[in-house]
Amino acid sequence: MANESHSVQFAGGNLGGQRHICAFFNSTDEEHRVLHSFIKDGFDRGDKAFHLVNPELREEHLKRLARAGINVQNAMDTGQLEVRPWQDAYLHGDHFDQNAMLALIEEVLQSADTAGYPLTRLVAHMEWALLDKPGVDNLVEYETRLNYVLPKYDDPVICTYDLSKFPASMVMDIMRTHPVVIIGGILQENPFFVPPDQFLLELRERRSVRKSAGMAN
Amino acid sequence: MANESHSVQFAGGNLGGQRHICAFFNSTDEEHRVLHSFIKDGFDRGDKAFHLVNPELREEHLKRLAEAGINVQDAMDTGQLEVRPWQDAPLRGGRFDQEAWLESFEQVLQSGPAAGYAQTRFLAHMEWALVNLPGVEDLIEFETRVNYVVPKYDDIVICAYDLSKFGASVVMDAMRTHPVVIVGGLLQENPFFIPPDQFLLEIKERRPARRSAGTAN
Repeated sequence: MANESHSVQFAGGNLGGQRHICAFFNSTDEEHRVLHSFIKDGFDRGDKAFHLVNPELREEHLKRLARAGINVQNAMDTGQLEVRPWQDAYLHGDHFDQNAMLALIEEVLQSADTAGYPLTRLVAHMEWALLDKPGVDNLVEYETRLNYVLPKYDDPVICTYDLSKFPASMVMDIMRTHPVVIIGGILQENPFFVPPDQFLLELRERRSVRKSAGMAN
Repeated sequence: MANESHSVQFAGGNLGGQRHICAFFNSTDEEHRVLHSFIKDGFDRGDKAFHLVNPELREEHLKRLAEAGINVQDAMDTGQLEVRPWQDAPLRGGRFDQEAWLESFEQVLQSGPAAGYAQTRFLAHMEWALVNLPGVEDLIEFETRVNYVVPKYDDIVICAYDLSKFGASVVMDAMRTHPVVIVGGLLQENPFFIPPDQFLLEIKERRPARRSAGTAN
């Protein structure tokens, strides 16, 4: 769990023990403005940065990191910065396997710890879930299950969602699966958070309702 | 402001002094399940019920009220229940005029006590903002300005948003303009609420940004 030396402040808030964070943005500009100190402070303190990005926007992402004052080439050479495209993570094998991804996240957090980084600061762009690939409809189940994994570590994990791309019903489910949320540029504890045991039950109930509705038609 | 005799419990929560509520639902079934006691208790206690509905769904709405055990015809005859279609309220004159509707809205709140009702329970279906009419883009500005009006009264105002119809950006703004929110069937104080002075400023700041972005292209 989080200790004093791993304290993290950004987006107008102070991160507590809960470090699975959902960040809602209306644009990439807003994202980089709000997350600037989260990213920059991490490099300054020698934390590992692990970013999961849209392959088409990878170059732009690196450019923005450079503009934020990060020595990108150097950080990638030393391994402090790792910017991985979706197809080498969420969409490995051209489909979304939530079990494999949960394992990968844990592996990333553990290997950085082994390599001596005090913390891993993980930023994940989540628009892969809007691609037409098998398994992406398991996004919300995956997000709630991450709440079994992340409390074992100190590492902050930020899942970023572009509000201009997602439908509202999905975004509300996403909000309910993160104990901490950034909305309007401000980090807050999330009173709408539903613990994973309870949320998995809700997902199961929805499925059975849908199935019986399907049979009735 | 709210006093003891006007205490209101529903959707797993106890309503405090803040009574401008945003309710997010995925279906009409969910809406009526979650708001059942809010609506039913109001009739039982002799409160006025003012509902703003999609004209195409007015009959269905009345049917659901009857199913909830409300004597609809009787309540409409006495004036305790008023179910007004959008075109006679926010969309009067085939457009949304936020000044005119703010004024009418306040009159509705005042008319309850004037007629001897302890309270008005105001329920608005907000999908009028998705109808292609002039002015509907002022929805969020209107919602934040409602926060200047509602605290003057004891009345409870619920704005219901169907998550399957709205985009995520609008829904997030709607959330930030309500001090109390119902998500996942639970009523909660909303830490993401932005007071109207500040939100109006944010809206003003967004506009020139959009305009200069427009000229740049």
